[in-house]
Amino acid sequence: MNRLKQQGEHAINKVPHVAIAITATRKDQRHLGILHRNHDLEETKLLHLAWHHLLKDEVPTTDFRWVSPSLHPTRARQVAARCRQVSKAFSLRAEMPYGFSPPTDCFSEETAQFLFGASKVGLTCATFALAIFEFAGVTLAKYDSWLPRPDDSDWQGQVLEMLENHGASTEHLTAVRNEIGSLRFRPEEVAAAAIGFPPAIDFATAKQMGESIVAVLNDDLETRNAGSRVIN
Amino acid sequence: MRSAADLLDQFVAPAQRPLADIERLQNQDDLFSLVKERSWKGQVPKTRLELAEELLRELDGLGENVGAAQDALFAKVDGTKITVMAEWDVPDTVSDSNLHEQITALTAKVVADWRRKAEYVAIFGCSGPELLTRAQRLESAGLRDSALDLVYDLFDELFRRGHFALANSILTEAPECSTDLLVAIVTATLPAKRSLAARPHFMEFVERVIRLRGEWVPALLAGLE
Repeated sequence: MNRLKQQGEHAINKVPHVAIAITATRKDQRHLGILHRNHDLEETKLLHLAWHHLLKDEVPTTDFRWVSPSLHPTRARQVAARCRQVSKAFSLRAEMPYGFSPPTDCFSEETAQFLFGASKVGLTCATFALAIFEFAGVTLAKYDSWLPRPDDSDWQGQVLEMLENHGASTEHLTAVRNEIGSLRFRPEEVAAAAIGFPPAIDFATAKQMGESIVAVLNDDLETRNAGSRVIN
Repeated sequence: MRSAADLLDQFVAPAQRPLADIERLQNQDDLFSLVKERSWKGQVPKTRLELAEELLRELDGLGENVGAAQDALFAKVDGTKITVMAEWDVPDTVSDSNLHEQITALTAKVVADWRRKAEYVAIFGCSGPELLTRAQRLESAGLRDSALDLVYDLFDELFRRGHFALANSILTEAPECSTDLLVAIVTATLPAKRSLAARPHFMEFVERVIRLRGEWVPALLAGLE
């Protein structure tokens, strides 16, 4: 996991153009986004789908580890440019729904905009990141190698419950409910995909690498928690 | 005998309903029959090619920046004179009606091109290729990411408005810019690839240019087909 950099050791302004950033928010929950650097402004931001209709593009906290996929610099610049475009577009509309749709074909056939139509319910933080790379022509994972896992459905059920408590629309809840059981791309597996790229990672490799990433992130979480206990 | 200005008037569209003018050209023989009549008043042309050349010479005389007479066609739309340079090779076997169809088609193309340019200006304040030139200037000034943003802004706005024909025409007119900008154009147009007929040719052009620069690696365009 040497390529999974920690901000204490590697300042985020060392992100060349684009990177996957990941953190553990709880022992059993990771969160992921895309670090993207604007060299003209000398600014690095984290673009991430924090929650239902809550797309954020902000200066990241120090909790994240990050990894830059081995992209040609010209291509990495394009992914960063795509992040800025999506951020700009959704800062005006704030309509990025949360759901379990796959990260492919996320743009409208009619306008080519990054949208969610009738066939697209929403994305998770992990599939959002995959979709942004897809939008720039970079496929990080072999989607057709992914397999369903029983605990994925459990997690999706919990998310549905949170969406209900959050006040999501009835239509959206129905659509999300229908997606329970669909393939889940976990944050740590997307981080593994960034480490392994190229080529696009397969499910078995992503799953195995993902488990190692989770161990590292949980260590980070324990350290942070221990630190906050000392401060408190 | 009609003056050259009279002849040009056959191409003039009323500002209020320019499409009706194209319709008129397509449905009537005004222009062609007029020239044919005039040409035949003096000496009957020996070949269809002579007839076509006669027409184009007449039109040629009305325009500016005249190139080879047989390659130039001029038209006037919405009060603006526009010029198109096009291949105009009429074999002897072409009938009068076919020749007229060719002239009409070429005129329609002139008008469509002009309209596209006008739409660019309406949306962006300048033409698509001019925007790309602006992006090149930004890049030259060391603002490469801003230059990329301009390219993405351009195509995203066109797609959002459903102007795929405009986007397509940019691909046919794009200047030979930096590798970063060329790849930006290819990436920005990826989501609309099914609507952009010129994109495969543009990609070939990009690859050729990058190869000539000695910068080519397959990873530059991988996944953007």
